[in-house]
Amino acid sequence: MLLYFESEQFLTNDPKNASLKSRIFESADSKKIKSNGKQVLALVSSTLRYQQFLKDIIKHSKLLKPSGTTKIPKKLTPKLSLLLVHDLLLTKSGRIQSAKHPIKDYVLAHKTRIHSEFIKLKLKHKVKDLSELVKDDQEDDNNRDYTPVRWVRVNTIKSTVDAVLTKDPFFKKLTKVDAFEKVIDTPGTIFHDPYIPNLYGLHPKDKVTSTDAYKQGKIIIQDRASCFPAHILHPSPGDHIIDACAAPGNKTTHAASYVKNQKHSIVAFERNSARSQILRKMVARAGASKCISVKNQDFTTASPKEFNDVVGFIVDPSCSGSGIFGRSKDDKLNKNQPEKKTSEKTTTNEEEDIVEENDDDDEEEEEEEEEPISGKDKERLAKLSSFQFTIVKHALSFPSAKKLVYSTCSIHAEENEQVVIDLLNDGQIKNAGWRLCTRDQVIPDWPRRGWSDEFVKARFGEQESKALAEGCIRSLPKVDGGIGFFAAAFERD
Amino acid sequence: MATRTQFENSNEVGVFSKLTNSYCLIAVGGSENFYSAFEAELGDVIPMAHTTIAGNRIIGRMTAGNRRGLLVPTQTTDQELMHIRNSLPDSVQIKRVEETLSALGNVICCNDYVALVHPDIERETEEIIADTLGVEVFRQTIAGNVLVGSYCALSNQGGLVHPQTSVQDQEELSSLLQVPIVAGTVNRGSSVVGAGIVVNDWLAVAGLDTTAPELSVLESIFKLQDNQPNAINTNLRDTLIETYS
Repeated sequence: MLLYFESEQFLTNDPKNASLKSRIFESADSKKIKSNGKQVLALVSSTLRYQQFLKDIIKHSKLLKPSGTTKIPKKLTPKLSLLLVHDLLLTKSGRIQSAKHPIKDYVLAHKTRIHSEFIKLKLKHKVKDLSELVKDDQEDDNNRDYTPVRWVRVNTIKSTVDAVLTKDPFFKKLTKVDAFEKVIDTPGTIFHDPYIPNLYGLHPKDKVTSTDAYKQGKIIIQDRASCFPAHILHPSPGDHIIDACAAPGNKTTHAASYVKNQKHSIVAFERNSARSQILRKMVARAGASKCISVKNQDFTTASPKEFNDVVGFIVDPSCSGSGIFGRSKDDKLNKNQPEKKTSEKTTTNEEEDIVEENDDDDEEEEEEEEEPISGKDKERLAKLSSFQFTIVKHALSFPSAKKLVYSTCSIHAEENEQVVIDLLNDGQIKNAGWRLCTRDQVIPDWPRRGWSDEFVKARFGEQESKALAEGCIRSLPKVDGGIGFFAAAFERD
Repeated sequence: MATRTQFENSNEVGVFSKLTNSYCLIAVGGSENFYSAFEAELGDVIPMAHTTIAGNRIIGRMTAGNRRGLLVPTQTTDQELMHIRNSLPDSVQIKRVEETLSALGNVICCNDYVALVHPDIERETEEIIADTLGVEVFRQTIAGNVLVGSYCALSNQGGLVHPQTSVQDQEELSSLLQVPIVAGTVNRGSSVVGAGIVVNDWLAVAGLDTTAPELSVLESIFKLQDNQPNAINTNLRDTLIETYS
């Protein structure tokens, strides 16, 4: 019964707004719960998926209504009953995974009725299996949960491309293909990305995480789009750079590979202490501890004078995360519960993700909701974009800064082109000599560029708008084989 | 095959007998006529037992059962239980049920896969039904009547229900039972179809008063002949006209 008692707490929405996955694994890692985290996650997410049906079944079967002589066990809450009935009806074994226990006995005493209500429900909806009813959601979910291509970057700090691809038993077996679309269809293939050196695409079902190369940090799972910033910045060895919102640190370590892991080259800022721990862990795993110094500090409070030798910046601030599809349905379901109290959070690096599980890694913030932008979301976007503007502006005020890459994992123009426009129009920044990099400096081969309409709207000339938009990079979620992304670079002489 | 017979001047054959796919119970009667009607059809195919339940002859209303088992009320004497046990095949489980609604035949209506039960029977009984008879148990009413056993005759091929069952209810029942359902009467207009007939997968026995159209409906819904329900308009038409004229 322990499994169920422990799972129960995750059915309620957590005030901190953290994702279900991270809540469960955090508790499992810190030994707050004794059960296997994966098992709890599977149980809770499946229960949430079917909860409306389970609730119906429980109601009709009168499981929780006192009748005659038998008393309802005190600990049998409606939530616990959801979990138990879920296991009874919807698992393959059809068993409640527990030794003899009064609550189990009580529920099993109602087995026949629960089962008949289950059948009646299926008949009512004219389905053979309940999964048909949530099928659409689930397919949607699958699409959301899994990136079409798993992008893997060879960590040149610890290893070389040759060593990984020819020596590692896992990579040796993969067949090479020449387009990432082929990777989507067939597991066991590998695609060498033409835009980013040392980056390879794999089928998401191939278990990269269990390879030694991954465990030893020789390869790093990182979405293609989130490899862009470090590649655009392209620091040379000896350059000093700053990553302003670093956690979980994939971009930072990517940048470290460009500076050849020279000591004290990179300063990584992260304001959330829990996330800075993850950042440290990732940096250590990548073998870049000497190169990257982690500061658990809000970048906007950093004094430019202290860093007068810093020439390059990577700024990937908190964003709406609207390009990310790795957020699972469960969280949404959980949030839709009536007892929910929305605590809207902006501009904090609150969200903590489990590093192993996280493939796109660079989102700082919140889940997206694909619905049309409501008033509340607009407000949130406005808040976010003003924060993004502030942090980039702060970075641009550093005395020796030469180049800055601004990126978000959002698809909204408010956080992307419009922020760039605001920055370009800012007097101080103009006076400091900053300009937007042109296409030939920002991965010229990448076909999808910024939206010129936004620049036109901001009263730039037709030609100029086009040129500016060409200087921005966009990637669409899934279509481009990864998360939705935006990147632009600023430079001065 | 559908036949007509009478138990000592009563048409309610379902009251005095219980017919399943693996055994048949028949009330102890004054004459052997009733018994012969069954024996002519069943012969040596399935065992038949003469019995009473708690000294009563209304065994069809007191018991419920299918191919796998038989449920008898708590009032059944040990001697009767022993006799039934000895008469039926070993594969049939016999269980005495402690249930206040002791006319099990009236509150339970089952085939080999599903059972409809009175909405108020006890939870323990529900469990016993599911375990002994190996069926899914559904609490149901038929045309607003709680005595599902009285108002429904059910086999693995089809079911006959109270004539006033709405089409919507019939559809619901039919999807629940996974067999075709038709509303109809037996014994010249009697709506207690459960008590009026006994039926298994190859035989239906109705009261002597049952009319030819009633019988043809029985035969077609329980698939006792080659005739499908639509045969009523075609090849059975002549028979019907003859009967009515």
